[in-house]
Amino acid sequence: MQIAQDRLDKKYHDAVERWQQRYFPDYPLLLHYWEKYFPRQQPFCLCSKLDLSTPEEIQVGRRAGEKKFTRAEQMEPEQAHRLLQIIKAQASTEFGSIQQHQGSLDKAQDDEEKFFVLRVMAEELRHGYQMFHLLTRDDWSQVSEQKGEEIVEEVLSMKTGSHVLGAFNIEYDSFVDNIVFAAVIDRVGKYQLTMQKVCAYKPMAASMPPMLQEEAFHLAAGVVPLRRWVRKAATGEITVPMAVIQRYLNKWVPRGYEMFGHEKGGQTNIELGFKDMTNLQALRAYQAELGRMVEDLNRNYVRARLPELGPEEARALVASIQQHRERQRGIEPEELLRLPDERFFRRRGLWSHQMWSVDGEPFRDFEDYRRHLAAVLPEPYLAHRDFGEYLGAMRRLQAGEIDLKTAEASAPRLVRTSYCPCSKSVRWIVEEGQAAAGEPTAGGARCEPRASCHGAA
Amino acid sequence: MDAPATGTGLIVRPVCEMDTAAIEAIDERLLGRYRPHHWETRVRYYLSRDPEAALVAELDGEVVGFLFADIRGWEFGLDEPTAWIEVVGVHPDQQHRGIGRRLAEQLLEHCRAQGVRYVRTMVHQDDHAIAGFMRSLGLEPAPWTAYAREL
Ligand SMILES: CC(C)(COP(=O)(O)OP(=O)(O)OC[C@H]1O[C@@H](n2cnc3c(N)ncnc32)[C@H](O)[C@@H]1OP(=O)(O)O)[C@@H](O)C(=O)NCCC(=O)NCCS
Ligand SMILES: [Fe+2]
Ligand SMILES: [Fe+2]
Repeated sequence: MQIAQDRLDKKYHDAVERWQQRYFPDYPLLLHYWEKYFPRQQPFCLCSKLDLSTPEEIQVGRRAGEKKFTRAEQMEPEQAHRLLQIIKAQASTEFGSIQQHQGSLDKAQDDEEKFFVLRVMAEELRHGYQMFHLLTRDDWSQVSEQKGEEIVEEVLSMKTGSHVLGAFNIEYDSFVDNIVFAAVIDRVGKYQLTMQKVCAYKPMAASMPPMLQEEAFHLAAGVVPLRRWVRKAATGEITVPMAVIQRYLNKWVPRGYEMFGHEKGGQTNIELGFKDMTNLQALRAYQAELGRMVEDLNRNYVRARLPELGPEEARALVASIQQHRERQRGIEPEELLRLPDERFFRRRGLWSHQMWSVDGEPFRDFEDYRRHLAAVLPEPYLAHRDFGEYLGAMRRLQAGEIDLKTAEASAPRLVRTSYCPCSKSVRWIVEEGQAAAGEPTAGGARCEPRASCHGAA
Repeated sequence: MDAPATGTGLIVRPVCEMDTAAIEAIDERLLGRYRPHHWETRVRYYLSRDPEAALVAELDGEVVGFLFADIRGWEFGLDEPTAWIEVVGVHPDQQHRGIGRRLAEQLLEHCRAQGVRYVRTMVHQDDHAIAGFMRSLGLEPAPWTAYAREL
């Protein structure tokens, strides 16, 4: 890969550094110990990177075969607006995840794992920086009410609770969050970035390969500790028991599924030449990969428990225990991990706000459902505002007090609306209804003077 | 040579974390050792450096071989960037089908594009398979001797 590196204009670069000082205070620690954990490697560079081998022609959609757009103004306004929302959502995820990781980083038991996560965070900072490159190196004013500069400001003012996608609005409680998030949620990132490699807007397409290369490391930063924890759990040298890992999978996997957007959406992005898979196609590929990850963890567990087994025997034993759901060779089915059913704990998409168990059993009674959630989600998460909002909305939905749309929109998002006439401070706003099925919605977030501003949090 | 694997659905691509199990399994078949910790560390290491120099070969969706190299400089008094081939393995059922060669060709192409002018490796003097493989790639015994002692 031949790469061109660049820096943002000074004022944006400085703004990112100020953001880092505030939300990513451990960044200097990473730079200080870089040589220890990443010996003889290029020092970390907070810069944008563009792959110089990006195809010249649009690869998918209505205008496939034509020259890629190199400037926003070459796109139809509708098209450019949609791309801008994708870029903004992407930027929001990058900065959002740093805020989340920073919260529980110090709970890491192992310095090496901690420094790998620190590197992940620094690279997320670079990914956000990359999106700012797209926003500030082009003139979006022809196609958007908001200038690129305003979007930069908006993204930098988001906090856990105000990001575009749900997964980035959940605070971490433990280092298990850092690791499971990297294995599960960064994996969605991999799919999104891979789809966007074809993007008809050339600077976006050219941004993807360097980001993807970094993303591959993020997945390893998640999966390697998981594999090690699982083997330790198997030998009784417990760091994190299987049941705890399972609870964190139950917490994050539903959010991962939702990041693909509504199961019926995504066609427009293909027609416009932005992605090469529908939401459902990408979701299915992601699910299959998560399935392989869980299967691999289970085999690690079984081989650590029963070292006399070879790889094929371990594979067969895992399959048999899961199929018959009975104890075999001393291993209970509950000791193994499984992916939560795709309908479980969904807040967006096809299964939004329905009552299903992790194993795909339906609930009729809300209280039974509530007890089930309490039994299968991480205990600290049950006390979170985010979870409370969900339960409240579910309860009201079940009681017939609100409809689904209201339930979906009810998770408030904290947005600093500097362009909002009613205040310059941070306020809860209710996001404007769902945008086109499955697409990120915060672009439409609007601070309405009506009942939507509930005061600062 | 058995039926060549080229043209059958053979893909050579950078390693990813999901390949760890397949690499462990190939290593286990080749050397009879199950070393998950070792391979996790290696895979994560290459992913943190230059994944395009750490390649796997996938045949019909299964990882059947790998070749990991690292581009470094300033070692052993060598002042030019050097690609060190550190480890290579092809599943025993898939050897002699051109898979190792495909892996190596892609590595060398990447190294040239990076401006690397030397490829080096170390081979145990009894390991005739690897030595034959390296020679077939054009690597010749170099005027260096490995020194070692136990501590
Ligand atoms: C050496 C090895 C990598 C070759 O891979 P491969 O896919 O079978 O090789 P290819 O089919 O691409 O052959 C490439 C060249 O290597 C040569 N070669 C391969 N195996 C050889 C052997 N056993 N002896 C001599 N030369 C050999 C071939 O002659 C061929 O040259 P040619 O194209 O000029 O005829 C593979 O046999 C292997 O993995 N061996 C065990 C390695 C090991 O123990 N690794 C330890 C860590 S896991
Ligand atoms: Fe990222
Ligand atoms: Fe990431």
